[in-house]
Amino acid sequence: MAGLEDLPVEVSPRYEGERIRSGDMYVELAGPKSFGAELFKVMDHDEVRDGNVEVIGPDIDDMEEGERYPFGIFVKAAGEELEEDVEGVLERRIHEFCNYVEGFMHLNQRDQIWCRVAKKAVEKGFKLEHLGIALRELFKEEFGNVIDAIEVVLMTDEDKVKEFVEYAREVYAKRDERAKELSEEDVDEFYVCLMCQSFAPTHVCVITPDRTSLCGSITWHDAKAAYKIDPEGPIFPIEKGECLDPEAGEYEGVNEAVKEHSGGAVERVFLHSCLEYPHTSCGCFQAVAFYIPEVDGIGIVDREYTGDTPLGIPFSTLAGEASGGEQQPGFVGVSYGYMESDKFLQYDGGWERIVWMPKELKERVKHAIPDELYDKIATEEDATTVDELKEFLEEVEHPVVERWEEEEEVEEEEEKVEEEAAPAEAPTLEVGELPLVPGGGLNVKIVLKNAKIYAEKVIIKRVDKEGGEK
Amino acid sequence: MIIAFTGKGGTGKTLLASMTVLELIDSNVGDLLVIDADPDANMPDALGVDVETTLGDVRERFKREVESGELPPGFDKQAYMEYLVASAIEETDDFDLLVMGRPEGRGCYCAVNQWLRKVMSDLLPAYDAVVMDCEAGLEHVSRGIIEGVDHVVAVVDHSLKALKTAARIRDLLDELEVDVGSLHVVANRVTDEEFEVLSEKARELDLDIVGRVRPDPEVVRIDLEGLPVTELPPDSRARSDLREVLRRIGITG
Repeated sequence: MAGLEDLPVEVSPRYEGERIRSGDMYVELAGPKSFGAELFKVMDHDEVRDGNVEVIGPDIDDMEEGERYPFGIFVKAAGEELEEDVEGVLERRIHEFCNYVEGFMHLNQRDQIWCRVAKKAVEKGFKLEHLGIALRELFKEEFGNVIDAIEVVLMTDEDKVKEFVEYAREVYAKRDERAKELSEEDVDEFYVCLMCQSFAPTHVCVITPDRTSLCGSITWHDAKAAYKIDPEGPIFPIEKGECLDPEAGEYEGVNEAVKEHSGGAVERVFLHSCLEYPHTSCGCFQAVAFYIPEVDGIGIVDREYTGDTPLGIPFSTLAGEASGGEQQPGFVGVSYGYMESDKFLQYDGGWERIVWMPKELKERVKHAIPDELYDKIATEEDATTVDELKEFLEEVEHPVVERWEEEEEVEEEEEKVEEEAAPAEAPTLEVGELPLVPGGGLNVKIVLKNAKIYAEKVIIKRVDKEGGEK
Repeated sequence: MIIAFTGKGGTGKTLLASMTVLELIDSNVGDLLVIDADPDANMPDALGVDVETTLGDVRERFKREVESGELPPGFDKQAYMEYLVASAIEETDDFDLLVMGRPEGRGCYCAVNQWLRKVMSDLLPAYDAVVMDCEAGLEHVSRGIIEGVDHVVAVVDHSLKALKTAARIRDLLDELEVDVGSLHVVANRVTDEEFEVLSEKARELDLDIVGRVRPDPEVVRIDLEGLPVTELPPDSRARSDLREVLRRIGITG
């Protein structure tokens, strides 16, 4: 069987990045003006003709110079330890391996590949069959430990490529379904992105299968790929570590990484909460989730919406509040992708706690919102003030309304006790001292959550960074 | 070799950049990429090329697809960006042309530009020479989208304003953290008498003008008729003058 050394052109990583301009090109294969696909498929042993390299349709010597042809690359492999879930990763290597071939250019992936063969390669006697041999040999060389049998089928016949593209798309769709199902429990490593530290120096973006970067641009899969391309870059893996609270999404490894890369400014992060130890925000987030104390619910507003939220301020003002890399309970930057996660703000109650969204945003993420809640979430058409929002939520019996009732019951009970125990004008609760937790850019931090305190006076004192009073 | 032309609007930097492209083609420089990085400039017209897509267009498309989650989870965005940039390159027999097009819109471009930077830093070294036409702010250079510039040519005309812009460009280059090679000030559309006065004014601003391109009736003719710069004969005064300047700078042999 022919090896790499028998080919008329060289095969080496140094040909990667070689650009074949139209003037130097013999033929173009697939690309934006034609069609094609590539596929790496794990199959049963009897479905793979080991070592076979085949070209279905015209090879180079039957092609017209300067023409364009459809193109399919089908790599079939079998192996005892070869699992279906590595198909995507191995398929990405087709791109790399093709570009090792002198005089062959390969761009992009899946059903959007774009290839060119250089005139100078054809002059040396290059044929597509040789590309097939190069792929076979390179896959064996690099993954011989898991690949027991391999076959490479290249297609240039129009009907054959059409058929193949359809088949490949079905395989991609199944693969994507599997990838979407991946969640935090399934992986040992998360990723951290420090790209935005240039303007939010303490911001550490934690990327998990359930949580894309706040800007919405980098998924866990992207982060993994980015780290492979540039291990010195701003995106790198962190150990997930022990899960301290699955509901909150608190992980030992995340806390450690955030502490280290925020220079100690942030020590604890709940990945799935807006209310407690929220993830910090750079300023690049696609949307911001904000707590509305009057209704004990959470609103979400995205960058696209320019009107006011029920808080009386627009996205831009809220974004200013939430950004800068400081942890601010009640505010958290989120991406559209994260809204689609099953873990979306689950510690706070998830979608049951969401009370307001701009109409367009609500429509955009409709598929992620539980059906029974969709009509219960107010938009700017239902409420533009907190009072209107309150009224709306009561009318539609939003789940947060139950929270108000619980609070009222507690309140009533307390009032009864008070009436019995104390004379009329005495305070319900006497607070000798109100401890304040230093944090954020402010020197004070006050979280009054579900609190009913009757006091004559509330004194807020400035506390220094070390925690001692001054 | 990457050469960036910049300067105050109206000084003729697009003309000089286009004529430089012609000189490089005539000297058989090899693979040549032309980048139109000034939203107000018109390299495609000057070089007589029709352009369908700009880098700004594909960047917006990429951003929209990424942010809307349209791209499948396992999709390699780096490779996709490379493909989009390649699809925005207009190819002719003598050179490739990339128009940067519209500037960034609303929202966050951190991640998008990170991918784009990687593509550009892989793409540019694949060419033997790159000629850019930039606005005076050198946005794409200062943002690090385009790295490894060897020569910055600041074009001035007979006006003091243009000289002051050149001085600002020099200050900007000093402030940039990236290395942008050397700055050359070239006067365009000036007579020898004007050039003498101009050189003196330049010295007051601590600038050294490396050479001049004199007024040329041939240039006026193609301007009037809306013809591309490629119509200028090689022995026209403007092209001969520029050839001399480029040789002095060390861009052509």
